[in-house]
Amino acid sequence: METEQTTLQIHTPAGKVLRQALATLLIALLLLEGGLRLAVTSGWMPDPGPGTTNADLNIKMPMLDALAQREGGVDCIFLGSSMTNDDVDPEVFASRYGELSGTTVTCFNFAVATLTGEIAGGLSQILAERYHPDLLVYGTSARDYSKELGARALKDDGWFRYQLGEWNLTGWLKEYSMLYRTYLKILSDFNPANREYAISVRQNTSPYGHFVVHVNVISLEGQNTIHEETLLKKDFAGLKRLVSLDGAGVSVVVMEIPVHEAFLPEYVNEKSEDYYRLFFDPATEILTKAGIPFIHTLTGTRFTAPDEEWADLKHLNNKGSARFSAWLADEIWQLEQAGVITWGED
Amino acid sequence: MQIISWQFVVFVLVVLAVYYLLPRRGQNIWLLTASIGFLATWNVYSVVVLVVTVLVNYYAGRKIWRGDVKQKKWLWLGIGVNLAALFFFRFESSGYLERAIRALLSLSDLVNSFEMRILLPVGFSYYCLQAISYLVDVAQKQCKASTNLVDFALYMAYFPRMLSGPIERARSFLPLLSTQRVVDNEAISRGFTRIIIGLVRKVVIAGILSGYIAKDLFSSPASYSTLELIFQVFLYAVWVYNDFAGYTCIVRGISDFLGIPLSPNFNTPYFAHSFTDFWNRWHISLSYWLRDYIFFPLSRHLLRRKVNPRSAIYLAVPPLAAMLASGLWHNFGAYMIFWGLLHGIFQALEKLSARRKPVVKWEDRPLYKRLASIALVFLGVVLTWIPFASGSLSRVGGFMKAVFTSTVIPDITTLWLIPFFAITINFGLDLLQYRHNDELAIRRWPVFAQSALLAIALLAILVSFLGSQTALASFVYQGF
Repeated sequence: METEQTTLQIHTPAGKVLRQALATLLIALLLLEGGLRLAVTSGWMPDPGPGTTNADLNIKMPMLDALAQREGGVDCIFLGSSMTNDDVDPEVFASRYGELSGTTVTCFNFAVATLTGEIAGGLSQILAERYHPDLLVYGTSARDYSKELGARALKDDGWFRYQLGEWNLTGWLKEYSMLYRTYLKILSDFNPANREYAISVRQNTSPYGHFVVHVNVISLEGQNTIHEETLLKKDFAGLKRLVSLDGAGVSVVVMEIPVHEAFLPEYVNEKSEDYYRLFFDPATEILTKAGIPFIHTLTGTRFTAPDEEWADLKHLNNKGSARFSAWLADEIWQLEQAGVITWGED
Repeated sequence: MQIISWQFVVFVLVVLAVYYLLPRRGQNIWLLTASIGFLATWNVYSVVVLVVTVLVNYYAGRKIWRGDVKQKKWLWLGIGVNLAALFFFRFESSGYLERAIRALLSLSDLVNSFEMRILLPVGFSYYCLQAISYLVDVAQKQCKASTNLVDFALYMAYFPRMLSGPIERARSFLPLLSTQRVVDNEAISRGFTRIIIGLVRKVVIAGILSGYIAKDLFSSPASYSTLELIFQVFLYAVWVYNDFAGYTCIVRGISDFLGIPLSPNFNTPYFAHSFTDFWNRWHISLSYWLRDYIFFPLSRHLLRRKVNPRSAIYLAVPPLAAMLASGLWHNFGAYMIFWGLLHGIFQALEKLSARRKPVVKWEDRPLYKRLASIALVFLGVVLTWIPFASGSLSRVGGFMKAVFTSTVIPDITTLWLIPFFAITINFGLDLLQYRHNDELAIRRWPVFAQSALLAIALLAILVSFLGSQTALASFVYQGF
């Protein structure tokens, strides 16, 4: 009886080309990885950043690393959206705080444009675990809890997920491979969608992470207002996650980011009451329950700035940010004096 | 399940592992099971349509083969059912049916609230043409009617070619299923090379280019300069080629691992020296189908009607009809019909102008004339991509108007170097294949050169996967 041949008839040695290619590839990758690490640690080449989908984060992370290395750590980190990014100058804050307390603190503004409450929750955890600051100040506003903003994409980013404990290959590579991070930076630099924004961020961000703005346009035209019946639960959940860090070696303070007085009546559903009903009151409830101080800027000891100190109706310019940062240092110092928070002591 | 996915890699590995262990008959049953499983991962509805199509055509084929007096009726019935189904799904997927129903029932809000869109069954437009070619070939005694339902179903459903072809012929494919397959070192090497070339085309070249083709190119062309508009259409031309050719290379490579060679679909199309030549190099399996079942029968019909073979009717009508059918096969939109007609017109003009010229062999023409011919055809083909990519005739008008009237100053930056780099890889690869008339010409190189090139290709594929900000998984021709 005739037997059927087997289909697979491989004769050894096989795959010489593939074996040589894989060996060449491995050697080339190791050499490149080693060369790039040497170049970055020797200062011949800037750190390419973690290569996430967020340009602000990619630029600020190496800046914070450099600052922490230079100063032996950071004492306080500010977090928030573009409003915090523009409004808080850590140098001014540290200087004013030093005048009040007699201590020297190092601060960094890690605010990321369009950051929402949901992402802030995860990012704050990453920053706390990597840099162990004594104080984490989260500047927040109604915008952080409304519709889909750009930085939400970070939620799906491999690096972001890896940092929060979800293992994935791209996240691992972004964390540990200088070659991969350099490649992503080159790719990002050549991406028309990112390029101009990244250049602007690099040019206008101080070594302490403050995005310096010089413009002054006070107009309702072009200002994004919120038209929503409710704000997003996932963002309030992010706020809860952020404040849960308090006590584990870090003091958490949340501040209401100021807006121009002409903007408040337009900000949420064109009603001032809705700003309080939809954002301020639920945020206050979360913070009160967690025992976290909430610095108000629009009520009580409110922060005011003349028109020329606003970049637009939601962001302060360089003059306004200097005034606000000093004002914030006063507020933090008062909280410390009242025994509500403890930080800045060696 | 997309072809570019980890799930598909695992799926193929499992299919291969079991396949190699089975005897031939078991292999066919296993491949059919895997193919139906693959289709079911898209949607079960597509499986139902496939099963019905297989049964109808298998039965019709048997009836035709018996050669009784009703043979012609069965042939036309079979072709009619396939074409009617294709027409229906195309008509529906183009949105016309929904619009017609909504117009008729416009008073009923209830009906308006329902989603009426019926999806085009996955792969239908490809295997439907295979079914028609099978019936015609059986009627013309070019192949026997299949007496094995499993083999016939596998001919229709074979998973590597399910999504976007190649469109196979029963007379060449069915015999492969009834013989013992051998997968040796040579077949593995061939398949592996094809998969790597396919991935370089799809993931590296098309992947890079897709990031540089403006999403609003046709919706708001006025925001671009003339130079940018022209450059973008060139990018589109190279992108669509690499996307489709990349897919074809990958599935042909997978099929090589199964010992079932699939037909080629591309042969350096942008080196074509005439529009007729272009269609011998672009989407070859569709083009040959159109040639064998529309172009040639129509030409024979005209000859039987005593039409002069040098007359304009004889030279122009068959290419126009074949290309019109090609347009309709892609989509029922007016823009796609226009695309098909443009190709038909170019071919007709070419044939009409050639009848007064003495025939000079391509190889005997001076180099500058050959290069000029290639450049001219390439420019013509790029022009036809405008209606193809636009999505509507009004957008074609808007685009062409912007090309000639735009006052926007071009923003030329170093960013343009990246797509240029991708285009260079494409034409380098094509030139190599063209010069040797061999899509696997790389395998002629010395081992060390092949290894170095493979290392670079693997690295490029790896970083493209890891760094991609755009969806690489789907292929443009899946939509057809």
